[in-house]
Amino acid sequence: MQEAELRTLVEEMVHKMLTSNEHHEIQIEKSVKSTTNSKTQNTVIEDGCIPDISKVDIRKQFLVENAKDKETYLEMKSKTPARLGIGKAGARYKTETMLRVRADHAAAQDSVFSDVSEEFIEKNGFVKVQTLCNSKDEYITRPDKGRRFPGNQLEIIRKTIPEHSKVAIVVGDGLSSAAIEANAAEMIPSMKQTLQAHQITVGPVLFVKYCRVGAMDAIGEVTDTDVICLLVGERPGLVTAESMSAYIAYKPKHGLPEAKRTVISNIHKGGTPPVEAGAHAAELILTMLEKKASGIDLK
Amino acid sequence: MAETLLSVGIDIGTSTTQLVFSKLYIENVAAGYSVPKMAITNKEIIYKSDIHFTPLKSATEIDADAVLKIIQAEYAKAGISIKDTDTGAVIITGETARKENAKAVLEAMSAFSGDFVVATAGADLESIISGKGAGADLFSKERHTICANFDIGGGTTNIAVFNRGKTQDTACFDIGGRLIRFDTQRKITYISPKIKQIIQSEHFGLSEGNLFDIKEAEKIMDIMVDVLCQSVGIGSSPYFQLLMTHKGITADQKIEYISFSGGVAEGIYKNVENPYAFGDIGLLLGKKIKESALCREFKLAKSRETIRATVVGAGSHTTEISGSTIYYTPSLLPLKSLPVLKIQDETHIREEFCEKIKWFEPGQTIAISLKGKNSPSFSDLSKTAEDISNAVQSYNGPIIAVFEEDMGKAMGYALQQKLPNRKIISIDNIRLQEGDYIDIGNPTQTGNILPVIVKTLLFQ
Repeated sequence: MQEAELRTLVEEMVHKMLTSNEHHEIQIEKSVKSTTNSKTQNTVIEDGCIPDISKVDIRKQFLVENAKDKETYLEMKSKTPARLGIGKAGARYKTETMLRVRADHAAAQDSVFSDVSEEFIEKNGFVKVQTLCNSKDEYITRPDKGRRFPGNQLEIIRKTIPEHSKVAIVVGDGLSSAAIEANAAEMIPSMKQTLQAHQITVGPVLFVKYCRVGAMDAIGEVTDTDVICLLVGERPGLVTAESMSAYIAYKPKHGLPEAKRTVISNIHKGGTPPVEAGAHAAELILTMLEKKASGIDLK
Repeated sequence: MAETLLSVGIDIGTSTTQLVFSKLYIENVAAGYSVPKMAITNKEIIYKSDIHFTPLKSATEIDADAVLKIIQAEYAKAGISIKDTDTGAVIITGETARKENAKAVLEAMSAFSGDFVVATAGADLESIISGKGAGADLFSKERHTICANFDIGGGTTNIAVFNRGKTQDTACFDIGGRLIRFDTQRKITYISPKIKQIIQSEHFGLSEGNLFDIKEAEKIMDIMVDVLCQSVGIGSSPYFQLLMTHKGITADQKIEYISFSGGVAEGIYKNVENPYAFGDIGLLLGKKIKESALCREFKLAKSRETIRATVVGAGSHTTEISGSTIYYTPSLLPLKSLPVLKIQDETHIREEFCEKIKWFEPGQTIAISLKGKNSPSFSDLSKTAEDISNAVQSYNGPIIAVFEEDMGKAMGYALQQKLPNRKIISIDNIRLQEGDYIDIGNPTQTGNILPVIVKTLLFQ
């Protein structure tokens, strides 16, 4: 092809594109105007609200269109919290699934970075102490500080838990404040009820802010309690941000090997219900008192 | 790691008496560091008895002594002593269950066979047990389908429909292989009353004392097959109501597969050389069924057991286990045949309990059954405990509370606190219906769980 010929061809094409674009732009402008006009004219204020997507039970949610055997799929889904049967929009998640993943992720992050409310601590009559950490950031970056207390806090601990007590219950925020607020108030009375049935009374409950599991060793060190049960928020995930663990140890002291702690994990409404976990933990405590051991020594 | 329970199953049927021993393996299936969750993880049949003809004294009476001798001999042959058995069931099935002395025989066998071997009977239970023994429940679960099992024995046909592993419906018909019997000369020795009725109204040439005429017998077997077809929605027969024992299959089930068990199934799954070998119409009926619409309209599933389905079901599939966090007073155990008082409206426990307790004989120990709440709060728990303790003020027996939801242990302590002087059992993970009976066995070795047998009915 001749160069000149090519040039005119290109010029023609560019011209065409430009004019059609202009045309387009005008049209867009028009339609924008018309929609904004109609909107301002017909604004309706509704009382309804958007449903809370995080309230949907995803084990029962089924978003696949035209499924061959929905019932069987739902039956399999009931056995796992994984996000199965969510359908797709083109190659992507559907909007609802996408929003739900983000919402669950946000809930997980929030539960790490928020504090257990003062109101909750007060309502349940917990005695509050704080580890060497002064902020969430320090708590996250310095695990060692989350296991120790300053002198004045140790003083409060000594006053709260009488020396040589049989059993002490301690609550720590750990990595999920939401877990504590959801479960601790249900589990503790059930534990106390079971211990009471075996003539063991438990004193006031300590609440530890910026708490690592090892904080129970520091408490054991200054109080010489026989068995300490620490309820602590677990690292949250996308399944639940409300899972709590109970770490229970016989005569915990600094340097206690991890193997000597007994742990009951997965305490939340979709796992072990907190009231059942309470009765179970209390019976474990009784066994520890009897056998004078915990963790792998119990087996 | 696994704990085992030794379970015995004894089936005293219309035509045969059998026994099996099986081992049930119980393991903790929870992830590490969680509250234990025990489950039956495996069932292994360790001994199958010979198949004996059920000894009868007359057409209406079971020969209890002879049955006992058979059972004793089989225990000895298996090398198992009575005290070794942890659980199990004796079941009287088919027409035999309607014999005059069935209940007495059943109780005698139960007492003989071990501390916690329970006596059961009833067409619905029989259907479920034989269907499970045949493996139809597992088949429907694994294939995600609906499978109906026909257990065709000597006197009755028990049908159980399983939908994805769950029992959906049961039915029973007076159709079986020994409803017409003949001797080695093919002279008819017995025809059951209902079959006689049909023969009379249809003027078929079959009667006791005369020679067995296969042409005439085929006509009566065609009627039996028609009734079985109608039971699953194919065609209709004027004798459907007559041959129905107490109920048919109710809803539209969309059954995909069918399987067969019981003695007659041998004639369905296998090619039989001499169909007259047992002196009855069993194998002939099997052949008829194989050629019928039943085997054309549905896909045929192979059953795991045929003639032994009921006894295997009784030995391996009757025992459930409670939840793993429970509360019990050991001295109360074992408990046998407790009738169930089911609370339907859990907001008015006291009212409902006081009304329903009148249904039972005074002094009868009952099991109170509640659904409970998924992850109850401590105040929910205390409230329900309060309601139950108020309800049982006028009831003097031990308190046996059975929940579906996981709350048994905490509830046990809550009840004990409110009723310090009462003996209490509080278990969970067990679903009961109004009219059920429940047996609760001794705790397993580690003491965490209790074996439980739920029975639908016991000689109404």
